[in-house]
Amino acid sequence: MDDSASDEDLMLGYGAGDARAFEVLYARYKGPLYRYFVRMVRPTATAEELFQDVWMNLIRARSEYQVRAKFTTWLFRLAHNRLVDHYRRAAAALPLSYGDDNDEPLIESVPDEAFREPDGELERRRLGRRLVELLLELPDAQREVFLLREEGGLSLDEIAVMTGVSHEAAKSRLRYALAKLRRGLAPPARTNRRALDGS
Amino acid sequence: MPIRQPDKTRDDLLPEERALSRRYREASRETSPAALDQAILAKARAALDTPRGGVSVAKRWAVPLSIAAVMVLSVGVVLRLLEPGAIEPSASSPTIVPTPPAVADRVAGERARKLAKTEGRAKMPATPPAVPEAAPAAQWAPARSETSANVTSKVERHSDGASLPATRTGSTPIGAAQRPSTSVVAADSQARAKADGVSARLLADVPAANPEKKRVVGDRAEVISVRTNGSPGAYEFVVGVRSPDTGCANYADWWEVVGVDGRLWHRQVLAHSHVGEQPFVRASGPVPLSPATVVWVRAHMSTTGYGGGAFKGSVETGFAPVDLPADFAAALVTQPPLPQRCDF
Repeated sequence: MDDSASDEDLMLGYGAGDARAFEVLYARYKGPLYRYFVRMVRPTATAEELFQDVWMNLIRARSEYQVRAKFTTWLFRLAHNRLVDHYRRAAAALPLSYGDDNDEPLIESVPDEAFREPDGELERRRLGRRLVELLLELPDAQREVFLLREEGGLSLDEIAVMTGVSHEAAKSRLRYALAKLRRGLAPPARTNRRALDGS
Repeated sequence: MPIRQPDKTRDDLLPEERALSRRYREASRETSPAALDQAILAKARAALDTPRGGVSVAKRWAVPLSIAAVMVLSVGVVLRLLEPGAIEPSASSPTIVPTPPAVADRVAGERARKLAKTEGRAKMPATPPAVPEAAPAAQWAPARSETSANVTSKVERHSDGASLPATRTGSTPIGAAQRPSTSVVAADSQARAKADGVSARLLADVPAANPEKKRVVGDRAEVISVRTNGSPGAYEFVVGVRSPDTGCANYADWWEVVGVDGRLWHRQVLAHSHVGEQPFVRASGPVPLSPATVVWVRAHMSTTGYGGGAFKGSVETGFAPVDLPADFAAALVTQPPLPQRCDF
């Protein structure tokens, strides 16, 4: 099968016995799926177990696959379900932070001018590392929405359906996540000055 | 059917999301380890070797064949009971109850003598074999167990998979006699890696009836393949394990790399059991070894501890299955890291 084939065609091809189709599909999504689990689960070995489980589930389900939605929606639904299953088995309940919609009042958004482009490659890398650190500090539900957006490329509606919340709840989680990340990345001096200015 | 090209762009980004999204994508480049990729791709390919739905021919025919066998035996017994003089105390109960070999032989002898009296009526083919075959069946189980143990020891020395295609058919491995037990040790690492790959793929789809499945020694977990990637001081171990997992109550909960002096170099704790996913391959590291450091690689069972097949060797010379001393470094069983939970 052509490497430029759609995800859905590749999955159907694999279901029909084309091993090459799976290789292409795997190459496309191993990174996003791996990062999703590595950012949602500790330690890394456990994340890798879950990562492998999802692919094994996909392999088992190959012959039943039907195109009812985007492939990525289906793939990340498998991932989300496996993650929830892991949480429940590990602690008999979802993490406390998972259902955390009653967060602190939405913090003031950091204006784009405070979110300036870094000077040079070194600074860019530092900010990149800092962004990932901040992401790991987010409550699970907010972090997952962010990751489903970034790694899965899913819409808020798709995320809402997948995670069993309303569109507004999903959007709220995303806004909290973005606000915290932006606040964490903004230059401290400028943030403080704006706070002092009362703006 | 909608055909979509891979599309990473979204038009529903929130205003404050755009710059952050760009920065995240620049910074977020991690991907799965190469060894894990290889294991998953091998599984994906191997899955295509089995019929759709993963049901093997043997499994698909198991129930119908069982029913047919029971019917044949039942008809045989009924027909024998209908024979004149067949209903005698000595002839009724022992007929289908598994018996010790000596008793079975005696019963079979009595049957044969009785049958000799009515030899002319032996035209019913299912009837006579019903009893004589029951006795060998009863004897067969323990005999098979002993044979299995012998095969295990032998196959372990060749467990890189080269002999598997032949053993899958249940026949004598082609070329097994010519293959010395040290061939695995002598093989270069590239050939060994290739063989391991074949082993992992083939073993994953071995039908239930395959004798290779019975290589697990009793209720122990055994290491069946070892490969390494990486560089001195930071090697990744890719370890194949076969274990009689039944769930969280009984499963292989880790594999580990142990020095010949009993030092624990590395332990990969497994987060869940692998029921229906045997054998399995897990990669882990980095293990801070030098190329010449000789180590054991062994697996641990949550219920029975150590004791299954292990591998020994170094990155430089390669790894080969060797009998693990029963009490070797037994104290490591309490040394962290230890499993904290089992997901399923």
